[in-house]
Amino acid sequence: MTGDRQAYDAIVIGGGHNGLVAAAYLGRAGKRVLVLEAGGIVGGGALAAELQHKYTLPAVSHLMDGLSASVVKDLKLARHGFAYAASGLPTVALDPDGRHLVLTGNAKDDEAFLSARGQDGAKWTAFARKLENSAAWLSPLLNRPPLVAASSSARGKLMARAVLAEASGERAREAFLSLAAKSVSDWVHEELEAPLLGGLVAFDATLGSTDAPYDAGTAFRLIYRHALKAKSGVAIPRGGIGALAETLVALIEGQRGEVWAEARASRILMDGTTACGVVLDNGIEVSAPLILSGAAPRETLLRLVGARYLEADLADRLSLGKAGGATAKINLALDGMPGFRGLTPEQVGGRIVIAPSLDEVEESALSARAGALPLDPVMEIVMPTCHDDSLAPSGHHIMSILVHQVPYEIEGGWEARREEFVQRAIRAVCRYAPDATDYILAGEVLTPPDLETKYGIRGGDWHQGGLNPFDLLGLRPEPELAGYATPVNGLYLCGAGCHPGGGVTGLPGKFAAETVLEAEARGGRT
Amino acid sequence: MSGGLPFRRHLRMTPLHAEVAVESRTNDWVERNGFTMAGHLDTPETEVFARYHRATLADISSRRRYRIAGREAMDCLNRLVTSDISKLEEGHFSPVFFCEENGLLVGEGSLARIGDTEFRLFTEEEVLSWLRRNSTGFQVHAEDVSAEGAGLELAGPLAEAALDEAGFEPLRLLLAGHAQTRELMGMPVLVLRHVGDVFEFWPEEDDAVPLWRHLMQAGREAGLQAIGEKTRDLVRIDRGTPRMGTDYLGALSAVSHDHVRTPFEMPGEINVDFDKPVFNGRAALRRMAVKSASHRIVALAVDDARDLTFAVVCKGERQVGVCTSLTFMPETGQHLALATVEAAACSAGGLTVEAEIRRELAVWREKLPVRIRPRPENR
Repeated sequence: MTGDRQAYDAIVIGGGHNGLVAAAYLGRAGKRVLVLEAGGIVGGGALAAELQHKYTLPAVSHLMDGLSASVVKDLKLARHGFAYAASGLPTVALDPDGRHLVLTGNAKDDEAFLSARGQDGAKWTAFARKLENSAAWLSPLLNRPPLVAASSSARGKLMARAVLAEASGERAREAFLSLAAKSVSDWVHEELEAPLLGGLVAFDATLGSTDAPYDAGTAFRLIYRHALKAKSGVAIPRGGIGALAETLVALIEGQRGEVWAEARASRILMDGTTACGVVLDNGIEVSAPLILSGAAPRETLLRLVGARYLEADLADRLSLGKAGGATAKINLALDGMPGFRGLTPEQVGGRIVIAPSLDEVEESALSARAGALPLDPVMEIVMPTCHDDSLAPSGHHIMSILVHQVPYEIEGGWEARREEFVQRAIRAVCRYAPDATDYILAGEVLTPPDLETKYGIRGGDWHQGGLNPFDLLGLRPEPELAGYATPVNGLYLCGAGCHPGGGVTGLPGKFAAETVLEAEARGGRT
Repeated sequence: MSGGLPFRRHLRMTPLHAEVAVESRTNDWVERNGFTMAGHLDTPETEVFARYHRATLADISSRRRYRIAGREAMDCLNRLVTSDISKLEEGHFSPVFFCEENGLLVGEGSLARIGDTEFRLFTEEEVLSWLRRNSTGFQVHAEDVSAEGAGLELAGPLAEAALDEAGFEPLRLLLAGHAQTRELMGMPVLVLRHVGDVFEFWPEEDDAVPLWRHLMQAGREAGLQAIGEKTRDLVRIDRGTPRMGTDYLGALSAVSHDHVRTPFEMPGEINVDFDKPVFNGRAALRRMAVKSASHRIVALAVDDARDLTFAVVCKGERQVGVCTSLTFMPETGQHLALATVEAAACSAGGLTVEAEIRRELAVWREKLPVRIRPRPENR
């Protein structure tokens, strides 16, 4: 890191998984790439952190359910050591009365299980099939770059409608359109009765956002998330969630690329209206004819580039966007396995969801909106050490808790309320695993503002923008930016703020890199 | 609440109102930008004769004016407008257009650089919120200074003679396109000179009345006549200059895009500089530039001195346009108009208007031939 200016073929700002994927694709095409990561560890929303040098924690997200098979294949990630420690994990919906539900994703098994407990067996199968069909229709659109409208606003929206119209069969489209504008609660109330199933569906439909189950568009969100799911189902990589980033870093370095940690970009250097390099906050300048940014579009264009290089309308629309993160993270190091009442050890290794009913999810969403802590927080719990004992000392465990519907701005301020929040969350866990507190050795709490300061996730929103129908496809993040290129020559977006959006898919990074390479092959920049 | 409007409107008086009212022989008042302005002060014939052969003085305080200042004012404004104003020197002004992202006009006006980092923008319509939105990311401050000071317009072939009589001889040397602050009668006054012997004076509020009185008194010898908005409008229509809010609508206020125009549809020279790498609407305008505009705003004349009005412009039986400004020119006995007409219909002749002709209480319709006037420069 010496010398004032070093030349690379491309610079990627942000060492999140999408930035790393983009870098690896460019490296594969023979480019010498530099990745700049502001934090100490790469991985973005999917990074590994260490607690007391003994526990490897999933710092932010803790499961992988959508990593694109094409990314794994194109980059030969398996050959570079990437593998799942477990896949196809069951989902366990905890019931306060101990009548927990375990869903494997296999329609027959699930129907039998639910029917045996008198819990919507056939109804669930019908619901799951409808979800599957709608997702199957949307999925192809998410697995290719979006159609891009020539300009913004009205035309862009018409374009999105055109995308919907052209995509595929009449019946699937009808089903999809009838669901798209609905709230997930409408859908659930129409088709399901079991409160636990309603809670689980509502949880999945709103996780990661401030949306409440009664909000229009949440049914679409559920379909969208389902459509991005990979065939491997819910999985945990070997070596923890950070293994993906580590594999990608090794891959990039093998391609003569470099990954710098603790390298925060403070400004994108401009030559006229062309991006030509990056200035770090320690004053170091690096130059390259291509810059890709995995940072949120607003951060990239308003902070790193500056509104002056954009038309005022675009700058205005970007500045209006409000980050909508509402998830907190609690990581615990345990010196033993807590006893979840009524669960087998195998089920404890699954995805455990505490969301007893749709109304409880709604309630916590409403209190989060009002800047209050929910009385009974809803959450997702994963214990990766059930599948990979390399993550903690022998016999010890890690409990990773995603608490949903936690306000970014809280009444009284986070400093004063942090302890109360942790107590409420742990109390909720103890309702199902009463001895959990006995095993806690250490822990860390990441509130939405913590996710921002510690991992650069603006507003704690790891999707980098909403996931409603009009925030997606050729409208994400803005119609004129949906094609990954920006109005600034040589600057591209490659983060979750672009199509197809949030989640650990690697697709925004892949599509951005492919766009760059195609533009080059055409012999010009856009 | 009045007039059934869903909001309260304040009709305000300009600082010159009392002076103007003294000159009124007609009691004809109109509303402009919320101000009570004179329509005609004398007969149309008298005012128009004075404007084209003598000299006239008008209150123009209702124009909107904005002060844009700051270290990056030039950068901010250069992104705002479609022309390249980076070469606009201190003490000069230039006509400007500004567009939104789809290349549709949001506003137009005159931009004067009155200091290294200070500008004045004169417009017909309110554009402050647009200026503010454009200020984001620049070290610049935009404010509406319309309520400060007043405006006077001295015009006509004997305007310079009137200046001499008033003891303002040095202003003769001011060239068209200049905007300079001069000391007149010990008062600081921003003076703009337009082509065609039109001088704008922008004194401070307390200085407006003494300046008006002084000019009126000194100019009597040169036949100086006070005029109102209607005669100023006639001159504008005669020159073929469209007015935002009348001949087309601003993109941010129009409900229908049909009533919004692009710079390519305006008469006269196209004021868009694609050599400038970033400005609002550039991408959209570039796409537009390769196609020909669908509509044009043109100046029309009907050579018929009868008392008539018209709005619809036809080619054969088909409507191809709409007149948006209409006036009668007593000097030539013509009806002059500005109209938005389909571009394809503009090339060959054969345009007609459906006129309503009035004689005392009788009214009847006639199709009258209309011709497109070449844009008269500096008339």
